Amino acid sequence: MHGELKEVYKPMSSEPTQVDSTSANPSSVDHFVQQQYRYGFVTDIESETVPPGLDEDVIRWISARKEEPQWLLDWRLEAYHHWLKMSPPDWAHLKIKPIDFQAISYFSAPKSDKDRPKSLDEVDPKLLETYEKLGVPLHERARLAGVVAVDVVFDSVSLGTTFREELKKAGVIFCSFSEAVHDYPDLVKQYLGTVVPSRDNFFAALNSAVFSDGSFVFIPKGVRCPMELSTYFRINAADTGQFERTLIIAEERSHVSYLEGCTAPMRDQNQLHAAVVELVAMDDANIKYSTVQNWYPGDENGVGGIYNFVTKRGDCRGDRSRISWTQVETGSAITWKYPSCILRGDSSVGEFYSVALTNNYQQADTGTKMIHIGRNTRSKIIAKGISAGHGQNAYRGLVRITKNAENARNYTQCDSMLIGKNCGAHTFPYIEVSNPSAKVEHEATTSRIGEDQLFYCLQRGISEEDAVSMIVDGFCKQVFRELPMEFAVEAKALLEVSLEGAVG
Amino acid sequence: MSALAQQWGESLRSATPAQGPRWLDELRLRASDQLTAHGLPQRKDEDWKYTPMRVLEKLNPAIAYHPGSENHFLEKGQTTERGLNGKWFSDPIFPAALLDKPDYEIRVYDGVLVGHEGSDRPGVTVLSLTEGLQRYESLLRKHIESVDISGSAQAFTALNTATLNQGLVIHIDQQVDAGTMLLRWALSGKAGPSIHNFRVFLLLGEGTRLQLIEQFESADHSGSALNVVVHVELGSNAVLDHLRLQNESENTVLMSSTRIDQAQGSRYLYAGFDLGGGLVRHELKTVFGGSGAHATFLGAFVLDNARHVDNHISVDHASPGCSSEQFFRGVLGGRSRGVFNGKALIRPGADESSVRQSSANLLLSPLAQIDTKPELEIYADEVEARHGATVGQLDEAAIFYMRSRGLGEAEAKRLLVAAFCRAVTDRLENQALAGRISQLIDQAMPSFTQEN
Amino acid sequence: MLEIKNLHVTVGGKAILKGLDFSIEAGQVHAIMGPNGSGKSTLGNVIAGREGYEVTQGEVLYKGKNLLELAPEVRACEGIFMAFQYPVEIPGVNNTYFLRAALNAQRKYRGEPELDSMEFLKLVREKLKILHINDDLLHRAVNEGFSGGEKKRNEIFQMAVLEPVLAILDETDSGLDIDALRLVAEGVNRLRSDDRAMIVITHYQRLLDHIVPDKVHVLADGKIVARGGAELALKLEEQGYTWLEQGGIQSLGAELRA
Repeated sequence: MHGELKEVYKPMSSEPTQVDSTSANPSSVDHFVQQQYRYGFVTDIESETVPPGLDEDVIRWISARKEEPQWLLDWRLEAYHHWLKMSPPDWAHLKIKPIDFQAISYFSAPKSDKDRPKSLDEVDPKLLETYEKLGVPLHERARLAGVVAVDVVFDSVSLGTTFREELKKAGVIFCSFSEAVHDYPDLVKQYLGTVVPSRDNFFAALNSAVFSDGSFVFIPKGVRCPMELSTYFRINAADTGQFERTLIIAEERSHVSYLEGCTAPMRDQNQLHAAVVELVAMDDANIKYSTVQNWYPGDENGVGGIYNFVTKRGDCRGDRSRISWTQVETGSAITWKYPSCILRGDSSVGEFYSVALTNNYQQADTGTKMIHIGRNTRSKIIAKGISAGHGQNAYRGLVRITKNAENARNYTQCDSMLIGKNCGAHTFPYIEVSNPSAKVEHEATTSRIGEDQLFYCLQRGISEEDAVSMIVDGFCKQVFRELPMEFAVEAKALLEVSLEGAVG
Repeated sequence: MSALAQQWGESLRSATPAQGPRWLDELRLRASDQLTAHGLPQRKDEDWKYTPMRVLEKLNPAIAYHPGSENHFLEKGQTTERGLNGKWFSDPIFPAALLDKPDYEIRVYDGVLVGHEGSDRPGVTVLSLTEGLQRYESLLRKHIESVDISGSAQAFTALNTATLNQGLVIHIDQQVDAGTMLLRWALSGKAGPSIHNFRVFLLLGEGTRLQLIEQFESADHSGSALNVVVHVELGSNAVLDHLRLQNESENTVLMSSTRIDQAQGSRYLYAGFDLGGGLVRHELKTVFGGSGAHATFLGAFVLDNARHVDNHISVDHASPGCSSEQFFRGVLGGRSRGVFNGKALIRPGADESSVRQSSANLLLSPLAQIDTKPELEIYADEVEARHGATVGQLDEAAIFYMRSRGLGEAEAKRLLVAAFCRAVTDRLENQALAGRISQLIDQAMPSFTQEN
Repeated sequence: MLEIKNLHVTVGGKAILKGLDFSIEAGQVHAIMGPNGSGKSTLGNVIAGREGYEVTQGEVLYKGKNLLELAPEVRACEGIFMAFQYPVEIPGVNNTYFLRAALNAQRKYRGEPELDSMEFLKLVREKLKILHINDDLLHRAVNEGFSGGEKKRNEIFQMAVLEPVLAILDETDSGLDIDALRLVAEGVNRLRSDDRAMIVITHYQRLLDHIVPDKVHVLADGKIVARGGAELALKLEEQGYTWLEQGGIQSLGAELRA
């Protein structure tokens, strides 16, 4: 096992890109038969978990266990006290049972944490086996070796980081959030909560109080990050909330592409995930943040599944900076996220490319906010929603051109596709313009897969499932081409798996 | 809770209660309690997030309450003592009408029905609310009770219900073509800033036709408010063309809430032109209760100074095979603010539905603002739905082209704004009326088309 | 009629015209030729008064007066007409209405009575007849949905109605097939007159087969580098613009030199 892993982590850049045939063979009809969630299982590792419930003591316990400085504990407590005064958002179009925040455990770490593995070689083989079962990460990483560094988050503690050395040579810091708190406290203190304040919203406040771990990235001035950075998130222990915190800082003229992918094991009970991601781009910096989200969506009757309530926001603080969000959301029972851009710097650019698919009883309410503050700022939004089964899919977006944002430009296109009679597709764009030099354009369409399109394919000998897959793939193309190559392949495969049983 | 709502609540409590059927007396009290308990709409009320209630608060209008019965029975051609001493047709407060020869003309003055006159068409009945309640009690009751009066977002319908005793009932028997009616509104400002409440019922039987033209045009600068609730019932295959032109003074507050119930095959066309007013808000909600119904909402607003116009259109596709369109054009100068919020809901099973929404806006001044929100909520798959929204400026290349042919800059801008609005007026069937409205738009086109 | 002296123009901080001299008299037709990027269209736009063109040096005199201080519409009223290379589409503004508004603005400027719609229609019908243009373009919005050829003919039609003193035809031949080109050129030739000057800006010689110029100016890198008769255009066509850059000007006879 270990030997195999060493192989895996050798740079293999000359290897041709291969796709795992079990996850990405669009022509195989077999893939469209009803099947269970492929990534559903529970890793049998003893976890150290605090009892369910949240009070000051739990926060003190988390902070102490992570040996955090006093200022961070104070920051958590301040967020907690504010959270107590807040009420959960009003779910305009989501059907959701009230969450009992006292029934959630706010910390869980594998027991072997005390002697944390120094490298992936030392990682518990069972964990590695887990990744193997995921079908994507390890073998994907095998072929990605040399291209992607992986900061593996298993439950709440970061377990291994690869390619640290190579990144270090370039001056790039890529580590777990906990490590960053110890090793780069000044940087963390300087930027934490400056994009998503701890009082921003109910779930951001909760995250600020109890966040467990996450990733920290710092790209110094003028550095082009030598590889794509990637993290795979997993939720494992039963009834454990997961509260990731990610902070990416791109200094002047730096470039970074960050990939985030998620799968989760099968659970009957809803699990809460409330992450916060903060991005900061200084003058001429460029951050590309890509997500493939495939958490457990619940079964075909809507039982179980992840509640994914995420606050993601990028601050284009510098002139000519650029932040680009790309997301493929196929998982979770409920997704509620609006990766946003604050276009503060002059001539800064914000982009949002999204595919959200809901099947069975999944609900997604996603979109973006583009806040134009600087002059000559531009933003582009391409959102594709696919609803099948009893799935509900909403685009909710805000484009705000403030008074001083001279010559701001926005283009928004959001298209919805409905597959079947019981699903829903909704569009709620807010456009607020206070500057007369702004040009804002919003278009949206809703359609279904046309009988004539299907018939045309069938007449040419293509199965209905493949035809649907082709049509859906075409529908999403504008977004997929924004993803890094290997992610695009994974995203396409995920879409097919997620649509299983939707046709017919 | 706002001080104004508190004040209204108190004045309602101390006023002589209106006399009516018991259910109505009870409902008035309930509405009054709602208003006092929840106060005026707030920013947190999603549908009111862009409406600046401070304008109304600043005016601090008193409730103009008319519980008396002087005009509860108003025969055709008669007029009231209170209003215009029998000479209401020559009252200068009513400027030139949009339409020269309507089949019927109705006037509402300071929230009181002061007169109506027109041809005798069999099957067409025009009544005051009191008369209407005697003749069509159960029908009116159904409509009155269907209105939501709970919560701060419904404060104005609650206020209208709490003071409900002035109104107009137009009833058209089935298969009757009622021709064109002109409904003219005016505020005198004689009593200082007051809020006048009025209720309108448009009850169109099966296969009927009506063209209703509403004209709001006051000389009032006192800061009065008009709060109108309109019930429209369209029987199967009924056709209503509903045109509304508003050219109020900059101090005037106008709140209107229109609910349309459409039976199978009926057609509703709304065309609203807002060229004035201080704080203006139109809520229109249509519900398709039968298949094959159509609703079209056209609107243009051309605003200057600190005017605010808010349009909220909501279409409920509760039946299959219906189509709806929302088509709005906004032109904003000065410190004005425009809001468009269009909603379309397609319910499960409402297959073969078609929805179009279009909101295009020209922002022509550094202090003007536009907020537009076209919403689609779709729960059926055999549908065609699309929307578009744009915010932009006049085309500089077009302005230069026109100037290079000898037109002045202001003239070039006027032509472009007029062309922009013509997208709406061109949709009106009555081209003479469209031409007249285009002229008014041209007059309303304010400083932003002046030389700079 | 028009005299341009040592004209320097920058666009967005970039120098485009670098000391251009040019003059034309009434009754003449001059061609300005030059390779892409030489500044031909900039010259046209400066004369018409488009924003974004900064004159850093030199002067433009029209009928002895400083043209540069006039607003675009005043220039138009003074008789300057530009036939645009890419006529803009103006949705919703009726072509006839627009043209009457323009003509009346110009008449008013000159102190002449404005034409009512009947008089105007009569005038328009005459012009259409002369130019062999179908009247369906009258009922459409300005240039909206017009083909490339229709747009160019609409420009010439406007010129015929407005009867300018100085007309600038900016790449009027671009995007036209040979038949459309001939029609447009015929229209232009009908409008040639003793009291009207025309500047024909073009990349190719082929338009000059149909509109024979009195004089040809060659513009390169922001300056007039050669002047001559119609034969200069033929020479250029034969040799190509690279010939210019490779020192072709020197090989021209002294009588052609600037």
